[in-house]
Amino acid sequence: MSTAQFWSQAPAPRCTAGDWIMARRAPSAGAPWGLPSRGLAATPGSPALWIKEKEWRPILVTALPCVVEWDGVRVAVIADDHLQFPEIGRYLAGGGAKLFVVADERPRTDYRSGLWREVQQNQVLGLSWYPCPSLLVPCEMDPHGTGILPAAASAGPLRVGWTWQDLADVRSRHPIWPRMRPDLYQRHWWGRT
Amino acid sequence: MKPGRWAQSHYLQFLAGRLGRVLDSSWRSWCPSTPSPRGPADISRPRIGAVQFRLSPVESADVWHSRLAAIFQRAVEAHLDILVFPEDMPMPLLGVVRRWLPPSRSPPHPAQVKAFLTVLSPIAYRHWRMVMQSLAGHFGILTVAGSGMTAQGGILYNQAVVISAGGEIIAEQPKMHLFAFEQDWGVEPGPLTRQDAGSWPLYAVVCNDATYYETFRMVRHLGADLVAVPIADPEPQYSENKARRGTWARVQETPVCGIVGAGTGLLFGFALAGKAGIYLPAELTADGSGVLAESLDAYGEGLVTATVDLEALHDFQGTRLHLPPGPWHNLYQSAP
Repeated sequence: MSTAQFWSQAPAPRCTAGDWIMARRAPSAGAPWGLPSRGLAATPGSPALWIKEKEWRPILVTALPCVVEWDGVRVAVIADDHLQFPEIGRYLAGGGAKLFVVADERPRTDYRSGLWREVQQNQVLGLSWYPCPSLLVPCEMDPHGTGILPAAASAGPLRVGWTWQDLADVRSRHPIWPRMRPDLYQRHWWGRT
Repeated sequence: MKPGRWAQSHYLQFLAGRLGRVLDSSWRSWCPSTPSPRGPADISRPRIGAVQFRLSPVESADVWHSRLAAIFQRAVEAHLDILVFPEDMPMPLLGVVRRWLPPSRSPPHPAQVKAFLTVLSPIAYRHWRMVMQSLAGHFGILTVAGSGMTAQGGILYNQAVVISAGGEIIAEQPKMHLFAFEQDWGVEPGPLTRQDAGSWPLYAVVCNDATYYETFRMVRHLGADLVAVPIADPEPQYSENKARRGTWARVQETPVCGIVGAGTGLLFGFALAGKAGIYLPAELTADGSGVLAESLDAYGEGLVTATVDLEALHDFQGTRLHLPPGPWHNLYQSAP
């Protein structure tokens, strides 16, 4: 089980535009692209992504998008502006990124979010924290079909958990990637832009 | 050929003959004759209708004809210029021969479905296309007749048909991105065809094509401002979020107007749910929802309508940023 843990000022789990993605880098990992040494990582024994205010300011938006290794998978760290261009999400997911984290936006926790669209059409996961911290997942991974798994606090900070196998199962049962038509995209659009 | 297959083949030919005779005779007795006069259309503000249609099999083709004619009648009363129907429109007609099919408690094997569709679907397809041409020409409405399964050279395609207001076929557009069960039935994905709808920059694609943003990028690149998407989602329980993964999401990324005709009902074991709707980028709708018009119920029948301001859409398209340079330039490099 992997988890994301959300930090916020008690009691209301609300964040502001000044919030930053914060992450630690695993001691054994190499320096990730575009990130300082205290980048994105797993906490030994308890993998966690941390989203925290002010304490960490590690990512320059101009260095985005970047891909880092965390919990044995690739994580795409992108800027809000990138969500206007599905080509970028497709590129990152096609390169193996399975979790999308947006560094400089307040990605909405509903289907109107560009991040939600990227999650659905690329069958990846996304972290969203406005107005309520949640994990965005393909709708088939959510028993309610919304594609949104809200973080919950049993004791301490808000957390949400998942297994990568769940994502693999969705990709296997509802395969989107194998039915892409790059031949058509090249002929009618991409090769002509 | 094994005796079982020989018998099945001959039985399917018997059903095909029966289906063809019933459909031909029923339409001859109903066919409209006098064209209705239409006023000039406002080219920059087309009036558009999206149809929600129950696709459950019918035992009488007359019932199917009457329902279609009633929709066209409503469309012309609403002064519509463009009308979009759902996916799988001819499939209900196969109900005409259902009484002669052997009863089965379990879903048929995909190979049986393929054999059934290869023989029978072209007959229903031709009839549907002919009926839609007659109605579109009679009522003077540019019509996306939905889509239908047909066979060409023994290969199955699920393709949309676009018909001019004069009743001529403008385009037949095969589905490009199939569902898994369609591939199991032997359906093949098709190419993207050029579609010249005359007065309006309209393209039609089919259902799952809207799962892929690339579809909308392609047709926009070819000049589309209006993208018709016939759907028939095999979802027993409607989910707004799941529905928003298709055309609604695509028009937020690629600024065009998306028009969804939706199939409902129970079609040969598939429970269908979906809402007809007309969608725009959220910035172009008064409430910021991106929904210009949408059916209230995902299970019945109906017609939703809206006027689309193409000039406002063009202005908005001009404000969109271009894809920044980056390593994604080789995104589809592996393409043949």
